[in-house]
Amino acid sequence: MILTFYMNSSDPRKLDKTLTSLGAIENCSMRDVLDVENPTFRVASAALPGSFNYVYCDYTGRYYFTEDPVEIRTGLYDIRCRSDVLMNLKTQLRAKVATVTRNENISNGYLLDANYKAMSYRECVTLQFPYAMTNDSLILITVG
Amino acid sequence: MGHIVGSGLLSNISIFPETFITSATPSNGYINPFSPGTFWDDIIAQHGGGFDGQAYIADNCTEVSVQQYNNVQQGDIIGTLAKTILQNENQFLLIVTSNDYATFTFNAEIKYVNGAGVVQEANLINMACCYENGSDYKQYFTWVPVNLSNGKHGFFLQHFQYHYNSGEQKYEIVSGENSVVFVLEDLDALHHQSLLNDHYDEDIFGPDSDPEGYGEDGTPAHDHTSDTITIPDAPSVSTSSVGFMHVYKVASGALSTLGQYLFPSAQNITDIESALRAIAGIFAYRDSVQYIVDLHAIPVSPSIGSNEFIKIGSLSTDISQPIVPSDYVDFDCGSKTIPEQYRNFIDYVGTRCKLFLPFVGFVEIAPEYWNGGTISIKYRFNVIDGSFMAYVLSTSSKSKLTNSLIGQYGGSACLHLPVIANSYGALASGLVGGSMQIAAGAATGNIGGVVTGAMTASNFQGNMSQSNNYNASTSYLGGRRPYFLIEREVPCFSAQYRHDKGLPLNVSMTLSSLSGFTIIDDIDLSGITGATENEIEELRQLLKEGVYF
Repeated sequence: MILTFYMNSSDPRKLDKTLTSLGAIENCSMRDVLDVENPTFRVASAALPGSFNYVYCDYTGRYYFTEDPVEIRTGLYDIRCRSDVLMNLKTQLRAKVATVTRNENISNGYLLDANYKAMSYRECVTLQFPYAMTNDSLILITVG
Repeated sequence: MGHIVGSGLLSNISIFPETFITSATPSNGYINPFSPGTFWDDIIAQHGGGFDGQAYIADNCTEVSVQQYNNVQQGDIIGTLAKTILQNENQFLLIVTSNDYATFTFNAEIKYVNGAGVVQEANLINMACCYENGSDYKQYFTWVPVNLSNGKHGFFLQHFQYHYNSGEQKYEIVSGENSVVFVLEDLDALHHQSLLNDHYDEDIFGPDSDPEGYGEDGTPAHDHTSDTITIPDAPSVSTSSVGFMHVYKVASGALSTLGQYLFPSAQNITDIESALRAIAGIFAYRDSVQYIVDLHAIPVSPSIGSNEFIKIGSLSTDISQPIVPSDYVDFDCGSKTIPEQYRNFIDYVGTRCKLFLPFVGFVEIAPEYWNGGTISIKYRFNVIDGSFMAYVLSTSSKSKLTNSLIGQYGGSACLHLPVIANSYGALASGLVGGSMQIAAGAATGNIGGVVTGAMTASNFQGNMSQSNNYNASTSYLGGRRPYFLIEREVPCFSAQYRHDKGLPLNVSMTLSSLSGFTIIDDIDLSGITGATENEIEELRQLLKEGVYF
């Protein structure tokens, strides 16, 4: 299997990662049993990039977050990985229809936002109506 | 076809040409994404509940070629443009304005067919195929709020054209900010196909709606309309219509004269004739005061008729004062329109309000009745007894009220004046507060020492045992003009709040139309392939916590 190494500079929660390609290494293997979610790849190569945090495996067809490689012996490394479900499933996810609870760019301002914070004081204003009752009048009622 | 999809609460939508951008050509030589011969097809407006107004579509920015649609309702076609988009005049502007300036967003989607009647081969994520040169461009538009000259608020679409830099793997803005194009934003495959089939399978309006209508038979699930409750008419019975009752609006000076009339002073009389005349007057008028039903003050001026001599019992004075023909008089305190402060939930959840009503006091009033609306206050006074009813009327789009009665408060604004006979020439005095029991008292005042053999003044006690228990309203010491006392929370939002936490939405959407931080509490992930059960659950959990589209 071929592992393509990247440096990911995006937030892990981002669907579309910004990746800087660092090259690929062939003849990699998966240590122990086949685990597509959290594999440990074994890489025998002196060309392992010095710094990386992301890989793509052509065999599983998945992108993975990586931990720091563990050198078993000179030129042989184990790389523990975790599947990036967002990157791997983004196309299918985007085709879905769902009820969006919160969004950065679209909102309904009249829905209650439980996260908002307010100052400890309240603003108080007084607004008068236009007219006041100031024409006091004397009324005399008689019979006769 | 394409459609404009909006959500939020809007009213009185209208368009104002003056917001159009006059320049039709972007400064950087933007290329028309549509080949000559491309036709815009129907543009369908959809909106959330409350959308009711007009929409204009202009097909370029230098000329308003408008098609006006009033009372746009959900699903209405608000514009049909079947014209050729010229090479450099592809700018198509839609402006939607609202009196409410509610927080809302429109998702604009366009479907188009070319001159051969074939849907343009579209990369359903971007508009790349529209370019003859095959460059990988992405169109993006934003709604830019504007304040219009008539005081309303609106939006115009601002277009940004992005070019995908494959080397750096990022989109770069290549169009000028002043260019305006109504373009496609991320039309996904599912929606594109649904548009082709003239079928909308998105529910974006919340739990009360579905694509087929509000209820099972397509009728609204519930009636939002409101009956208008008006101020009742005044009673038709009038005291003045009773022939022997007389109601006068009197001046304080006239009262003083009346007092002298009723209780002529026997003091300082030095001749017999004057003394006898005074004694005769005492005899004539000493019982007249019992025919005074009431003397009181009210805070407004009643409607008056012609002047008549004040008649008390069988006696007619020569004091002429205007009569009051109607028992009731209305006073309009006016209206107060209060726009929303924040144009969001804080205007309601974080706001308290009291309404001060003269002679009533403070009453609580919920923000829904006045926020973004108008409150009117009218009083109706009973001139006869000084009682009143205060009417509070509301016009509010949020509450579906149109000048409707939302509160009525009764009370008394009558300041009774004591009619005491032992205070000669001082009948009109005594604007006192509190309640008093006026005790009968002996008349004082001598006629003079020259009278002998006749009844002395002290024997003619002009004092009246009648007394009024009166309650001079302490409200006369209070304010006379209604006012709002509004308490609002002061929100504290950080600059990054939207990006870090998102804003509340609750709309069903195709996720491809989303961008930025997003939380989805629940989602049906059926049909996801190539993922393990754990990965699917991890995906669900990540969506609950928030991801960046």
